Amino acid sequence: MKTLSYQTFKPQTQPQNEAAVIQMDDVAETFSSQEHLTKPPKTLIIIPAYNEEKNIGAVLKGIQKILPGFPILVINDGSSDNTEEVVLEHNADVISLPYNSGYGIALQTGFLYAVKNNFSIVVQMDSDGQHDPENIKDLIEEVQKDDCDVVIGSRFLSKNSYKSSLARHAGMLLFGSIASLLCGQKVTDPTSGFQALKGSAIRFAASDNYPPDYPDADFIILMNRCGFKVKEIPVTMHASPVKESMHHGHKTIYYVFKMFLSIFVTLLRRKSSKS
Amino acid sequence: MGWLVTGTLMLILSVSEDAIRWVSGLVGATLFTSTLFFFGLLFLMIICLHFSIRISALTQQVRTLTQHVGILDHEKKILEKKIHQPPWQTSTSNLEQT
Repeated sequence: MKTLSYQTFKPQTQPQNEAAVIQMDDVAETFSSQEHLTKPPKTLIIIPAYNEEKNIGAVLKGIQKILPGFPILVINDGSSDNTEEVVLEHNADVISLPYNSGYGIALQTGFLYAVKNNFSIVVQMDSDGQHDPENIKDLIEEVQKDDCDVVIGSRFLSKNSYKSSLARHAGMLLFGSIASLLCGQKVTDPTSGFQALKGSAIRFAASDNYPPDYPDADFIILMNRCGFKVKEIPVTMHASPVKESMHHGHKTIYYVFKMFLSIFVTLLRRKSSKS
Repeated sequence: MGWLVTGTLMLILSVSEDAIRWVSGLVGATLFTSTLFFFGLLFLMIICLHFSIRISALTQQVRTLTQHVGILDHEKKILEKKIHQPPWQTSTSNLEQT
């Protein structure tokens, strides 16, 4: 049986291949206020997608319009439709998993890829068009600051067109309260999949500690207990064009049970520092 | 291994009256069949727990393999494209350029 302790994460050295750092005028402008930075960091946008042929094209177009030339990696989670073809048509990269493994595993594949290729910032977003690409710059700018390792885009810190069902809202409120209590800071949107991570936080997400099913409130608590600084910023969240959520029917009950169990196991583990 | 050991023990208990009498006295069972069922169920529970732990470990390994297969397949496709691409053509993908 595995020992219940966290791995120690030591900050990696800067990428050796300086030529590999992406030059993007648009992004450089975003970081121009940061005097200590001479080059934009090597940043990757990861989008897990499962049967999203109808929405993924618009999402990619939206990102490419606002951030032209930005590296985008779609993780095709064993889709049975033409998601992969649509992504390739839009000149984005795609990693296709051999079978449907679930949201958390698809997302972690992106983190593994980012670690392998020395990306220093990773932005994760959903493939259904809920997240506004305009906010990517805000997330990157915020995560660049010294006082945070993970930035979460919260739909509840600003006025949004996003409307959720009563049960879903109650769930978010419950897990948000638990996360706030355990983290000692306000967590308004524990289920947000619109996040930016940097440095050792990316390596942590790529490790075995990452919750494979639903990396939501439990992951925020885990990060907080490991000494990572988590911050929320307001983002625009559109109503999902897909009627059926990832958590529907009996899966809602499973989600609530699994989340409680995951938080409980997280609390059982010993606290550890990130470096 | 566990099956062999438990099977042999259960066989000895079923055949030898002295052995089953001694074990029943030890656990406080009045019926010999209760003793056999008790140890049989205990063994099945331990086996289930053992399998559960093994399956969890295997799931983790399959998960890691799946992720690596996906990444390697992606890298293979990029390399194939580079090999078959004429040198005067530049790559369209942003990740390939990195």
